[in-house]
Amino acid sequence: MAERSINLRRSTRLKTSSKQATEDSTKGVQRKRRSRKISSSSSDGEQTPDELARELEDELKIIDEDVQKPTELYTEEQDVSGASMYHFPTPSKSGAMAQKAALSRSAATPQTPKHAAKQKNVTDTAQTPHSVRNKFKKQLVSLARNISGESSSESESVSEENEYVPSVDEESDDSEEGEEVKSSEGSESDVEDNKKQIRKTPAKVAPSRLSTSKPKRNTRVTYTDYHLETDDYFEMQSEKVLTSDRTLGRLVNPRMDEEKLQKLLSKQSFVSKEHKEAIRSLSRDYRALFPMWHCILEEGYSLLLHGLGSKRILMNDFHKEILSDHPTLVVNGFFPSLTLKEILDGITTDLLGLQSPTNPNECLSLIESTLRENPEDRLYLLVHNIDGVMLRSNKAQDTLSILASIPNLSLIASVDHINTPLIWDNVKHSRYNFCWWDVTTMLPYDAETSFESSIMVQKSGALALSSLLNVFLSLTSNARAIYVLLIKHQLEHATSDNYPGMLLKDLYSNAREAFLVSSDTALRAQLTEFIDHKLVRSKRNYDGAEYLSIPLDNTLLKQFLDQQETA
Amino acid sequence: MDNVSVSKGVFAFQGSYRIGRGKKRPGKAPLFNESWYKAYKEVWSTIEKSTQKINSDIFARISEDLKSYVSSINYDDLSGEIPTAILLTGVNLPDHGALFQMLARKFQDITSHIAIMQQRDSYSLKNMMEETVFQLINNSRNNRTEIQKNHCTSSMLNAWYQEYGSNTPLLIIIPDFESFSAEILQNFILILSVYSKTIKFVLIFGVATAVHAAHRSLPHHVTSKLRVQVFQAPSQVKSLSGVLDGTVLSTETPFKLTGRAFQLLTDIFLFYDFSVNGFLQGYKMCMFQHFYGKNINSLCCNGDNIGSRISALRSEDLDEIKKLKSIAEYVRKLPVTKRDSLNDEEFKELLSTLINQVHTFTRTFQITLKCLHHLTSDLPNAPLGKQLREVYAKAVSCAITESQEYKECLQYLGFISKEELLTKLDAMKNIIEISTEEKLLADVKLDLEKYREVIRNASPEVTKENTEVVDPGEKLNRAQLKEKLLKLSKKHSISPYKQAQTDVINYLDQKVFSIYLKNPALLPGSEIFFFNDGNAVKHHIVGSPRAAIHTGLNNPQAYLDCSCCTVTSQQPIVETMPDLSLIYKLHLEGRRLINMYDWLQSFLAIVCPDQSGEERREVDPELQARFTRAVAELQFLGFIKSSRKKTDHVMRLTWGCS
Repeated sequence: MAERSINLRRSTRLKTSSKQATEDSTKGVQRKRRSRKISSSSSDGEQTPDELARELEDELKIIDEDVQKPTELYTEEQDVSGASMYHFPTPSKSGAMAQKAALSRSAATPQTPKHAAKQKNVTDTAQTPHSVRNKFKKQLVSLARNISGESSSESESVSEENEYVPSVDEESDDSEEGEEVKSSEGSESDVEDNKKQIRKTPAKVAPSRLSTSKPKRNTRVTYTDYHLETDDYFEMQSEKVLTSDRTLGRLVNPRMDEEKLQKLLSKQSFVSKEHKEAIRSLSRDYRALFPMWHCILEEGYSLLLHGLGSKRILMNDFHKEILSDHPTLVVNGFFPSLTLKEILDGITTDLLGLQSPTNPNECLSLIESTLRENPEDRLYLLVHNIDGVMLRSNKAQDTLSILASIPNLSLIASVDHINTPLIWDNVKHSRYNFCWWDVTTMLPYDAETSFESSIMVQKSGALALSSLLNVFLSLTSNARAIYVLLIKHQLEHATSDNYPGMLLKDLYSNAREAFLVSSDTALRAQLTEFIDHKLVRSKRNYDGAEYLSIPLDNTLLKQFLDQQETA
Repeated sequence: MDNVSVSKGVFAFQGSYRIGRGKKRPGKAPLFNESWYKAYKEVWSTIEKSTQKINSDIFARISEDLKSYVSSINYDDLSGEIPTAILLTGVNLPDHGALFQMLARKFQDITSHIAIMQQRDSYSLKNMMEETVFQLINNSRNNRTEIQKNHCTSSMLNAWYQEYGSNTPLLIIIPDFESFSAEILQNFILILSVYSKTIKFVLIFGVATAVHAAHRSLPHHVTSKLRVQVFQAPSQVKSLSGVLDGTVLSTETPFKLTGRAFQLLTDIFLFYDFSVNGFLQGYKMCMFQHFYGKNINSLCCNGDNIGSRISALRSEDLDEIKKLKSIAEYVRKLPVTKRDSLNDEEFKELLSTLINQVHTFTRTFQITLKCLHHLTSDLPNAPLGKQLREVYAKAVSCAITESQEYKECLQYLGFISKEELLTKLDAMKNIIEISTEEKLLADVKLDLEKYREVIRNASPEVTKENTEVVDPGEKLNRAQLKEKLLKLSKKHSISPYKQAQTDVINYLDQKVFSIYLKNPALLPGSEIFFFNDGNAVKHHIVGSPRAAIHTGLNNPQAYLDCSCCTVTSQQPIVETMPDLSLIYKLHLEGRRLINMYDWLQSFLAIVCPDQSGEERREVDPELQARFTRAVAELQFLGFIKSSRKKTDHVMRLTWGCS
């Protein structure tokens, strides 16, 4: 009962949704331990948990009656909360991933218990200090259960790493409840399966039909909407990190460079034939929608494409097929050094053939007035990833939304980041007037991720090196020598991560000794060139001393120095 | 890779013509000549017209008030203060642009010097001043003076006003007061007040919250320069009701939103944005969905030109119509002889009668609905809802006369007083009278009048004539007495008023509401006029990008439609799934931080299983490349980011409860 009261309390906080309450009650089992703790403190008060529960229930009823609920925005039978979407399998075990992987394999090839034991070995080699004997036992039990196919890994929700459960009885007890939870989930997935059946029945529609009738895809793919809960975030942030200490250094070949990566992936031989065909047919289906999209744009909406997979090719095709006659600006929102001014200048100078004013606001007014004068003309703005890093600022979105609200400027944009909708407020929404389309292409994000600095990719730095070289060659010999001094100092001293840089005073004395400069101002004059090209960064310490550092990798500098010395 | 460069993010394609060069633009797509498109345009333009009218009606009062305020300002007794009108607009901002534009138009006959300031003009005082002066001078119709923007200063304005101003007030409108920087506004007002002796300024502030906002951002020495009068704009809910009355609930528009689609749009309005404009855009989207590519829906028009539309239909369109569920049903029920001989011409005739039936029905439906709403809206708790739209939503999604709420309403009606009932009946009669379709419901009107007379004359007193009292003198044993009392209590006489009340309620229930308030979706041919597919438009209006991505990752089969990747709760990972899905599923197993090395190992264990189950330090470069890209993509999608907390770990950015 105490447990129930906690659930109720949670759901009152969530105000209305009765679905949340039911969700919670199924989750209640998993929360058991925590709720037990809380209930002990709450029962200190005068009310018995029983009364409390009743009172809360009444309160809940009142709230339910009072508040008008949206009936169409959330459908209870379809939508789920973030919990069941991104939920954690409760125990944070270092081997969870490996086990999951093993699980998928176990279905492919029926496995013997012997193998399971071996599998366990893999997880054991993780040098986790927390490995308790008891845990092993439990792992084994759950693993065995997994393999025998009795339950999913969700039922592992038995043990919590930091909560030591001593007796085996209680453990088995808990796991039974875990299975109950699972069975309810199973029934959910049954429904899902049924849906899938239904989904399949309207078999593939010929593209020609698609163009005349409503897009069939939306009827084919039914997906669930969900919302995240903030409490869970804090819960997650507060917990201990339990991962193994192994690093990528253990690999023989830990990082590969971008070029090699591209070469290896270009073949796509690992994608199965069936999938390739399916991906192609997806794109084909979307292409059949082009006339409709064009019509929607004509009606004054902006197109917003979302869904998994790169939508770049599709949008470019749309441009080529439908809009090729019209002036169009294609913007790569994922480009890391894109500026708003470039977009505005692109429209004014390249498309409208006008002088672009320096002030972006005036630029905007100029575009507005020019387009208003020619109401029959159309201008198209294609933005790949309108949620790109450089376009996320309020100002950028404001400007783009004002552009989109011009009647004869049409915007076609794509989004990928899962938190994108947060960058728009209601004013921007109404200016954009989006028509959303789920365009899941399942294509790889080739171009989009090529700019992203990924952890696994080694930065070759070829670009940085060549730019360094270009600036370097355009300088006087004195300036070059000064820079070399700086490089040498950095190579000698920058062994740790917190290398502050070279003191300006030191550099000055060194440069003076080498007869490179005669005064402090002269040195500063030489340095401005580097600072302007971002080849030197100047920073003041807390005591006011000025430090100079080069924002490049040491290996790169070494390479550069070698080149200079051989030349 | 086209259009990708390491040095440039913007690519211009000029196309075959240039804007503003007068060259002919390429012809419109053939789409725009199709009959459905014409029908769609026609319906939309009627809706647009009526909303414009409604909007100007709704805002008529406020604009009249403001106008009389502005024109009645007497500058002599202001002693240097600037007359200021604060217009409380309510939370929603996007719609107010239209309101202020309309105000500006209305003010044209008082003054032609109007400046509407936008938030983007206000990042510096200089900029704001320039913009204001520029608009004030150049907005006047006689463009004698073309002045460059950077010459626009307040002293210039003063000089200009002395020369050309001809004593008309200068109107400065700031539509969203809260979004302007307080400091700039303060200085702006102070500068204006310096010139207030020589120039007649009028300020209009649109304030979204309360007058309090103005006091908070402007200190006393600034507010003392203003003479403020507060006005209140009509609330958004009211204007939504107005717009609904004029569009969805009006007999003028043939296209009708029903069921879930209607519910969806009102939900979006009430729970998301409070924007009437947004509602209209959603409405338009529904219409677009309804019409797009369907020639048969070109029949969705007002009764006058239905004949020509029907004759324009091709035979394949007719086949399409025959396939409509309600019409197919109707045809099936026809006598066999008639059904067999149904050729195209006859079918067209049948169609036109059916469509006319729908028209007639919807008209009576709307009127009766209004009557019902009037009858029930002020009942305790208003079981059917206080707003007409609530009643409407119910009536178009189910059989309203069978609903629990409706029965409750009838019960409540049985308790209301005579006066109340009379006024209600009068109002109903009025509704029928003022509607254009009076003759359709003429009988009802007559009947109502009759009942009204009866009720007016009926006395609420119980007539005494048949009362029988227990004679105290009569000798009765206990059983007899009991029996008699029981009989008496059963006989409980009804007053004539009560009787009449029950009669009229029964009449309304059985002869009016049950007949005219049937769910219109059941009529043959209703598909042409009614749109209720809320689900289809929901994904286009609201959008659910997260759900789409999640489905794509979690169950790629939903999109790929392949035979290999069937996921179940037992088997959430299938090795044939795309790399990104695999990586995503594995990352769900991690908590706050994820170890890259372990992640890679698990990935390898799935895609290239070997029986040894040992740790693999030498990895096939292709597999590693696949892993690398999938991780980069997951990062791009915003599920993870790199973390410095621990070497070779990434941080998860999503969470769920444990």
